[in-house]
Amino acid sequence: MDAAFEPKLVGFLCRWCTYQAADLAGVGRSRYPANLVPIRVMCSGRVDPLFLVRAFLKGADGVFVGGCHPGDCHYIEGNLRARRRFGVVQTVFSVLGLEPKRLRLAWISASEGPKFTAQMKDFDAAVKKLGKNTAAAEVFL
Amino acid sequence: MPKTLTVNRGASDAVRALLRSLIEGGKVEGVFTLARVNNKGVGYALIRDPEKIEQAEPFYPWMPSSGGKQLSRLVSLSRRPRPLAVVLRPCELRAFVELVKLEQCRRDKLVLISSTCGGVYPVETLSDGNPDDRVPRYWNGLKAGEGQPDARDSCRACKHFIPYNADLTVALVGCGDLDEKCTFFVNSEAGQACLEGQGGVWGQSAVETEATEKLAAARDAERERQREELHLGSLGIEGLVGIFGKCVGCRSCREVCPICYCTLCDFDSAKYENEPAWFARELNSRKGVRVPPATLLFQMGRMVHMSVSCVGCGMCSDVCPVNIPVATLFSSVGEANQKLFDYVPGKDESQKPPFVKAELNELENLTV
Ligand code: SF4
Ligand code: SF4
Ligand code: SF4
Ligand code: FES
Repeated sequence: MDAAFEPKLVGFLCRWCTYQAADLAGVGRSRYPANLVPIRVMCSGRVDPLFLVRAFLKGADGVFVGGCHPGDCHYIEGNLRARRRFGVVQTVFSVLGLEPKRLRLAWISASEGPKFTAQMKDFDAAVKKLGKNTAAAEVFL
Repeated sequence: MPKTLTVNRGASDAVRALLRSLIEGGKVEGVFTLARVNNKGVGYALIRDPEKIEQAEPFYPWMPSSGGKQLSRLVSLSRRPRPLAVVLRPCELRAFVELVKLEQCRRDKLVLISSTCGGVYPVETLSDGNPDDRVPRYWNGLKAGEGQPDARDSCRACKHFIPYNADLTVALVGCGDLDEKCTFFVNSEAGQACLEGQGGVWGQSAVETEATEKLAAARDAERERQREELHLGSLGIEGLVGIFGKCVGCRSCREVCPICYCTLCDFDSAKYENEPAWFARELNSRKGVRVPPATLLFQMGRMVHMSVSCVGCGMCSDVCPVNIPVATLFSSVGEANQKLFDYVPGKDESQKPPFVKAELNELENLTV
């Protein structure tokens, strides 16, 4: 493992929960890895599975989806649908010998600032272990 | 065990006679079946003229397009006053039922006739000499309960060759006497109504036989072999580029896929018209870019969008001009996804497709 390797992480964060948790973490001065590019979505259910594939092929070393806890989605079952789609993307990755651990789904409510920080640190460390995403430098994708 | 009617006619003749009598008896408005186009091939047709039924080749061993897809376009969501009789192979029927479940067409007022299936030859072999030369070999194989070594990859690996949701099933696999006799298995009232007034001997038996079980086992083994040959589990980006590197981007695989029903595919939309700024960014980050871009995005994108409903028909591989084993890849990915939801596309009409619903308590191990 390259000690200097800083993974590029992309996060699709629901604006009602995980995105606010990220804000809260910031307000509470709880440091999470600065290499996360947060993308605010109206609901985790807005995340087309293609977004994950696209971010990965563009070279993201890790792709994160954060939504409201089951039962708490503002659109009732957006997060449950997100979970099914996420499962499909991860399965595609597994079958094709890509690394499913580069994809992560977590439920983090608006009040869980510390959980957000912990999750990000943990994800960052897990992706560091996997090393660089080889898609990043591949021209003939 | 279903009721059966056995008639003293070869299988294709028996089905032609049945179709003809359904039209002449006014029971159906027309029939949808493979029919001879010229002496070089077959195409799907919707036929009303009883004389034209002579041209029907319900079991001709080629699949010029997915009949399930074609049928879905004929029977869209508006109601039809009168029924149609339809002959499809099991995977085409599954595709059709899947499209019904995806609300692309209607199931009612159709008499669905299918058969136990020995598979089809790749479409390109239709122009490889005289296709009729292959037909006797095909039927002999069927009688012995064997598939053809030069059938489509997907057919050689197909485990769903006994139809689901057919009103009538014609037994072909392992039927030694199929030149002289034909047995219809009755699976529904509509199927029963079709056979009223037809001569023959009524009985009762199971469509599964020793022969179908033997064929299923052979195909299971072949499926494993095909997957091992592709080294699926260790492909990674490098392996995927190796496989799809020669893709010419024609989109034929998507065009013929029964499950890809979108009128405007995401990959044809304006967001893929790459602006100069996009190229500049790619050049900065990866120092080069394939043109046209986004081959893997298209392939993996299609996988995440539709593979839960892939019926493994093999149309995609069949039309790929550069012989990429598209169907082997899609059906492998599809099967893994289907397992996740305990789902078999086109099997149970009452079970919703995985993307149409979601449960509160499921897949809990996906989140961390
Ligand atoms: S995929 Fe199966 S059902 Fe379809 S044509 Fe081939 S053998 Fe028949
Ligand atoms: S992906 Fe290929 S094998 Fe699967 S349903 Fe579509 S055409 Fe058939
Ligand atoms: S049919 Fe073959 S060449 Fe054409 S887009 Fe599909 S995989 Fe690529
Ligand atoms: S509103 Fe947060 S996941 Fe749906």
